[in-house]
Amino acid sequence: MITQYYADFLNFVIQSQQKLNNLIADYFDRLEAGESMIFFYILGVSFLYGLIHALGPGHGKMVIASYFLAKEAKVKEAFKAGFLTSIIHTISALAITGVLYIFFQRSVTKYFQEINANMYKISAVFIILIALFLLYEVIKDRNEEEKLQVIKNKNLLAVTFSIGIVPCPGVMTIVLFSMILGYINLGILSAITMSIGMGLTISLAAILSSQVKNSRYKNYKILMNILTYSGIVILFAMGMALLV
Amino acid sequence: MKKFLILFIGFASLAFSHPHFFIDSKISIEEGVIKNEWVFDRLNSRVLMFDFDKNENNNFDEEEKQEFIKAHFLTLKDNNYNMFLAIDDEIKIEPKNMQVKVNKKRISLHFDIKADLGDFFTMCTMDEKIYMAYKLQEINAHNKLEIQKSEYDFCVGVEQ
Repeated sequence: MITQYYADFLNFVIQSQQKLNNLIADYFDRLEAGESMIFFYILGVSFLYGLIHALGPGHGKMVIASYFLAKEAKVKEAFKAGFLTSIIHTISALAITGVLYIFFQRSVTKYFQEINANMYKISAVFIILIALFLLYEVIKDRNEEEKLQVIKNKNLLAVTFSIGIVPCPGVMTIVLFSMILGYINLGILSAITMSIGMGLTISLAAILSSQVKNSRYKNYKILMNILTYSGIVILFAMGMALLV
Repeated sequence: MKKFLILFIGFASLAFSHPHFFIDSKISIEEGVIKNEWVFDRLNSRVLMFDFDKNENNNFDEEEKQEFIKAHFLTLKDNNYNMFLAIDDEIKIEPKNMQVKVNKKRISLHFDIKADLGDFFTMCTMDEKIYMAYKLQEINAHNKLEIQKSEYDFCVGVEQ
């Protein structure tokens, strides 16, 4: 039953992405034919593409959700984490695409695939380290409130960085497509609107997960401890799965 | 152990997978051979043309074809070319007659799999990371086939 719902949901996400992918190609045709106002439609579709693209599996939503399952956080923090992940994810894709375009013009897709695969491994190592660090934090005696806050902020940046460094192939395709056709600015703007769309979706996953810890069951210490350790175990398992 | 491995792979796919290439798949099952055609989406086709059509004649010359096949198809060998084919046991895919064409701004990759399918067989796409989303567009066969398909994978075959 649940697997059927999940399959239907995945079908919807992938079908929508394919439609938006075709729409972007069509809009670029119209832009090339001289319809300059289509520029705004491309940005709008890129935003939707980002929103839907991040709805499907991937983009570290599970990682970020597990992190907030393990750690107590405010909605604001979860929201920030989602957007930070999306921004780093986009900047990574923009930077790698830009460098490859300048230095290896005619081998972008080949090198991008290789870099992407290696970035997964680096990301996996970071995720494992975060899981181990969270475990260490949970186990050790925590009394100094001020010190705790510093660790928390550092953690947030570490977790978003570890997921975000894997460059988004969706961003790469759209940016490169725009660059090839000579619309570099439009490519960068599309990447930004796409990143806002992705940020909203990833933030939603982070917020939902953080709310579990802030729910009316928060006084049930044993339950909260189980959630904390589950979050850490899931994080560790995902890191290992990506590394192998 | 098997359950643990499935869980492990499930984690990996849930954590990071999403489609990058959208491929329309066309299959023709003939005597002793399965003919395959993968048609890439327009957005990726344009990007791939930029990478591989070095002389910009909007077509793939022999050398360009080989480069493309090497970079975007032969790299799938470790995953049995993203396919699962079983007659009695699973068959290792060895693609023949690989061709790359361009039609209406879309790249298509053609390849044959030599196999005597007999009365019962199963053929599925298999990319657990859904990096390539395969949509079955067309299938021709003499036998009556059972088909299961989604927006990103499919299975065809004749059950015992």
